[in-house]
Amino acid sequence: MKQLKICMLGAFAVGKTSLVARFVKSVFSEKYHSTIGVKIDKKQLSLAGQDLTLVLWDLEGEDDLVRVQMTYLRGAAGYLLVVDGTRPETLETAVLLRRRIETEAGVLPFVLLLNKYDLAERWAINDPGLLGLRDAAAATLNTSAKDGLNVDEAFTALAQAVVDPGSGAAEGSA
Amino acid sequence: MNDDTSLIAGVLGAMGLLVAQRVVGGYRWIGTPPPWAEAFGCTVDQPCDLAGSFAFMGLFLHDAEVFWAQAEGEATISSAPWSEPDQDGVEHQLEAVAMRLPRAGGQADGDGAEVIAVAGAGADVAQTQSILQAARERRLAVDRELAVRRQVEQQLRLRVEQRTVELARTNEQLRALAAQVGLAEQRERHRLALGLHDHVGQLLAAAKMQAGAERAAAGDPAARERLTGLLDLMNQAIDATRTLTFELSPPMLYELGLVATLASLMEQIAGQHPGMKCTFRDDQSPKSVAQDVEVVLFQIARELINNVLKHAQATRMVVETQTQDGALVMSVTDDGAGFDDGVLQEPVVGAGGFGLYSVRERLDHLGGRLEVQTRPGAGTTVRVIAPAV
Repeated sequence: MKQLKICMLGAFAVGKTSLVARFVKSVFSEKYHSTIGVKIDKKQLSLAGQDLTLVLWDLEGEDDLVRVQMTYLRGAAGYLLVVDGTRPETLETAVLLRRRIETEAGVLPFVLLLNKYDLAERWAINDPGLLGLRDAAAATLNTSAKDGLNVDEAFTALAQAVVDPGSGAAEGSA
Repeated sequence: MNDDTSLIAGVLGAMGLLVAQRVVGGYRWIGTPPPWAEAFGCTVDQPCDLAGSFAFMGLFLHDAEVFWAQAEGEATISSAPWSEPDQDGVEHQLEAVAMRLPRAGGQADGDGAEVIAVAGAGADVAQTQSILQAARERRLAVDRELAVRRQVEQQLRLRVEQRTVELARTNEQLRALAAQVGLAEQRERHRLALGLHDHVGQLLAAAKMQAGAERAAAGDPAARERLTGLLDLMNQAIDATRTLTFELSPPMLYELGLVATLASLMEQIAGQHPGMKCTFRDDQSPKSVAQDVEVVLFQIARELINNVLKHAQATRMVVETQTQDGALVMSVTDDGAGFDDGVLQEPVVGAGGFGLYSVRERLDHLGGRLEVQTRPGAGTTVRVIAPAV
């Protein structure tokens, strides 16, 4: 079975681990639990009749204390770039991360996730161009690990963009 | 494997760690893999495939090779903690170490080195986790508070903008209403003035003629004297009617226009105020202004002139009309006391400046504007620029 290494990247506490937990185990916890190092998980997916195993590398979040190790992206087929829609500064972190990935690990397909959409009343990201990320992303989706909104779609969109780059997975709903 | 490496591997194995030695083409088990590693498919009867059994190990061993290529001698590299599920989906917290050791009596460089890889389960990340978690929770709380504050500020800004727009709209409506009221008042004054002029005035003139005829026919000197008194009273009534008609709404404004009416008004004022030199000047250019606007301009001119008469203590007043860039410009200049033009910025009813503020509001509504040049002791010039038609 074909394996795809997928990395989860973003600022701390944007919901990377929760998105993986929702996708792999269909669970969600309100409690914030900081990831140390990297958490690896696997999930099988069927895409247009092709069985795939997604090996999900959930990297610890970037902040002033922790810098994401770009070597973890070696061998990755693509990544999910996660932003907390209630914290505009996490969008800036996402922009910086993408820049570092392209410099240190090369250009990889990615899907931009504006997570915590269940808190839409506290939404703080209004920039329609999302600082240039929307155009570069294979897709941009509003997601909620809490209620499952667009979670499966996010991983499928990235797998689609990796397997079939010309498939037009860029039609996001965000 | 030399004796030192064997010893190290034995000790590590006894500690419940997974130990493997690099051989040509891969790795081989040293000792028996511990029970926790069997769940990842690492058993002594299976080939040692660290990268296949652990998704993280492929990357880690590659990083170790890169590190050894740059390092000299004995060199050990540790992984960051990682967690990974076993074949049953049970998650394990893991940590790995790769060591390059010298062969007995040799140097730990290139092919002369022994390499062993060690992986351990149950890595304790609790302390790191708790320090990092506490720092991030504090940061998260600050971020959230800032986000809420930004949101509240944005909402307040939005409300202020909405209120400002509403206020501007209300002000515009009030200006429009005031202009309508002003025009309605003018029309009513005009109607009254026409009534006085065309009806009362005509009746008085007819009565005067009749009284004059009666006086001429009267033979009794006493009766003639009484009729003379009556004629005087009638003349006064006719004069009063004319003055009142002019004050209400001069018919000539509608018949001859603003310039002629202003000239007539200034003539009247000069007669009433012999101590003041009153001058009217016009540039003789054609003035294309709508009649409603002419009415408002005349009303404004009268207010400005009354201001000079009441407050300026002036000895000279000049009213001037001219055309500039297609617009009618009317100015009233005096050599009187002047005033601090700051009062025009924040006028207070009854405290001065409000009359000019009101004039400015009426002109704004028409699309015109008001300019005031004054300072205490230096006279005043008020320029009214009417909108071009």
